[in-house]
Amino acid sequence: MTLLCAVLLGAPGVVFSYANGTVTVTTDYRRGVGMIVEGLRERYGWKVNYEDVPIVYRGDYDDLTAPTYQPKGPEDRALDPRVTAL
Amino acid sequence: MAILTQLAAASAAAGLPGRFEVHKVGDQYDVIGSEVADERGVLRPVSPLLDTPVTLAENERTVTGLIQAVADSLSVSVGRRVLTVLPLNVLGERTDQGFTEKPAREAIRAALAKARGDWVWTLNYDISSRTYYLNINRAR
Repeated sequence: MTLLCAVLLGAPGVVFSYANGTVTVTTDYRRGVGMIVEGLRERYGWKVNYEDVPIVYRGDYDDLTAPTYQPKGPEDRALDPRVTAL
Repeated sequence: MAILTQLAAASAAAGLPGRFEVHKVGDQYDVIGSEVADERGVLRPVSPLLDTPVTLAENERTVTGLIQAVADSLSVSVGRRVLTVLPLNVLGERTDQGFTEKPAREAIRAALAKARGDWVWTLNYDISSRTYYLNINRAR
């Protein structure tokens, strides 16, 4: 059996894998849903709009503020949605 | 639409923040955050920002100006900053559209329909500043 497989990069961090007539789209970037939407737009020209959720739960985000940085206030931190491979 | 529905389901299964719904409107799809964990970690339905109704008087503006006016109206309505990220030197078509209690999402869609070419939006939320960023991009 011939297995055809290709891996192509779409939007930064979005990988399209083709095997046996099936396309698999993956990302390990933050805002995974939004990233894949962007990848689908770029690769296939789909007209897809994306709207984030307003995250408030501490377990849903990471604080990426550098330990050596002295924040000037609560807004002056690098908070990004938690990342999980998708 | 199936792949977008699968994407929303995969995101939920992976435990990524929020839950998403997919809607088809004309030749477009909207992937909309519909649930998010509250401060205690309990998933709750959210009222999507772009469901917020906007009212704008008919007035001649550029498409850019109209989208900016929608964002400004949202900022006032929800008490959070809604900033726009718009491409330079395009979306300059003039329109005299106005809206009465129209969901912001449909107001933006109507505004972009007046522009040449196809356009899509991405609404991101910045956790630390509690600010929304409305990005308008050309569909490819």
